Amino acid sequence: MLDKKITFTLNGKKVEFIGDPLRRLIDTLREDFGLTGVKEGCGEGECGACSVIKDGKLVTSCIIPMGAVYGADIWTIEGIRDTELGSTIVEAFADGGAVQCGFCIPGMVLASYVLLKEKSDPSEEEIRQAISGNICRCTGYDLIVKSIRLADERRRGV
Amino acid sequence: MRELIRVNSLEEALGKKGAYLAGGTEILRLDSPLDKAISVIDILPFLSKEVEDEGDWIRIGAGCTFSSLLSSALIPSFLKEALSYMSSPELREMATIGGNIASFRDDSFLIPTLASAYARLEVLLPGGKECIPLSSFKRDGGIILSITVSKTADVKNFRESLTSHSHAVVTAAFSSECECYAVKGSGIFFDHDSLSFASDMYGSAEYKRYLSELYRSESGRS
Ligand SMILES: Cc1cc2nc3c(=O)[nH]c(=O)nc-3n(C[C@H](O)[C@H](O)[C@H](O)COP(=O)(O)OP(=O)(O)OC[C@H]3O[C@@H](n4cnc5c(N)ncnc54)[C@H](O)[C@@H]3O)c2cc1C
Ligand code: FES
Ligand code: FES
Repeated sequence: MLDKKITFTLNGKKVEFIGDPLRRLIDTLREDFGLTGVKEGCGEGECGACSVIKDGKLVTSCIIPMGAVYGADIWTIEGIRDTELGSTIVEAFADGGAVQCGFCIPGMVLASYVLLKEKSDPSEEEIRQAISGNICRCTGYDLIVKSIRLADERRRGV
Repeated sequence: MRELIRVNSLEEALGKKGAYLAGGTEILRLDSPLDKAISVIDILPFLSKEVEDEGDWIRIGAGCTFSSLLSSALIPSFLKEALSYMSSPELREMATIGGNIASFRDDSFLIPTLASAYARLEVLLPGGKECIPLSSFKRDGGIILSITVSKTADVKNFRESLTSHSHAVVTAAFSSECECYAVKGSGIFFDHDSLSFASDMYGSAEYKRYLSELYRSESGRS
């Protein structure tokens, strides 16, 4: 049987979880750590609302068991928004009119963060690819794409 | 209560009853048949994540994720095309090639393409390791260790789905000596003669038959 104690890094701080290793990461983040920026849309890996960054990769926390989080480095919107790049993206989303109901936005910001961390001056196609696992019911995506472009230009000082 | 079992080796995992946890994308997904599995055995730490060049062939570790394969220079373009059928970047970061084959889904992203590239699986069974053609693999048929595919096969892929996120109605792939079809609602078929079609919410049996025949003729077969 797996040890019940799982230690990992959450938004830059060491934390521990004691409990069912098959509990979903999303439930632990929202209910145990109060990180309600992680949203639940579909609960089956389809919509990206629950996206978090795990070891530098964008993943959906609704289908990750806590047992797979041993020693991992997890970032949610609550941690990313305070980083330099994260706050640039959040401001660009606000200024660019990317947000309507807001439900998809934490996942969108994290997807944008992973893209812009890896790539400077991404093409529209690359931006659309990067957010293709994140479904937005409201905006039609165009203003989100433009806001990601705006964030990239601002961080490059263009 | 469901439990997650940690083992010290794949041999030990083989002796346990339950679902294996690789990328985990099927394990906790609501409505997945595995959502109810009582025991989940973590095998990911023991699965190879390497891609090896073996001349005209490549050997792919069962633990390779879709995204790692998409960024590998060793993977041929026909396989990258099939890997990109998984349209969500988040899922691509988690899902493994071994898990995709073992799931043996009737809308399988990879099985038709791998079968048409003459894939052979190295599988760990209670009696030891065996190398088998992909067409002989059965669900719950041991632990897949690696997949060897031809780099030079002339594979043509076909897939019909409503949107990039929807389940496919028919997925098919053809090469000069192989053909393979995944037909939603019916299963996976490694030759044309065994094909069968059932009507469901994704389309009528006639529509699925039409797509299969269309793909076959577009691939240059009569
Ligand atoms: C929203 C969503 C949509 C999906 N749509 C599709 C689709 O259209 N087509 C499709 O093919 N898949 C689809 N999938 C399923 C899944 O993501 C993929 O099949 C994936 O490749 C499974 O890999 P995994 O590593 O996550 O497997 P896991 O979830 O870890 O395991 C899945 C199954 O494979 C077994 N297994 C895992 N690794 C091995 C191994 N090395 N040897 C033997 N058995 C093993 C496990 O016991 C389990 O039964 C979808 C998943 C989600 C969440
Ligand atoms: S809630 Fe996790 S992907 Fe939709
Ligand atoms: S802003 Fe409402 S879902 Fe995207």
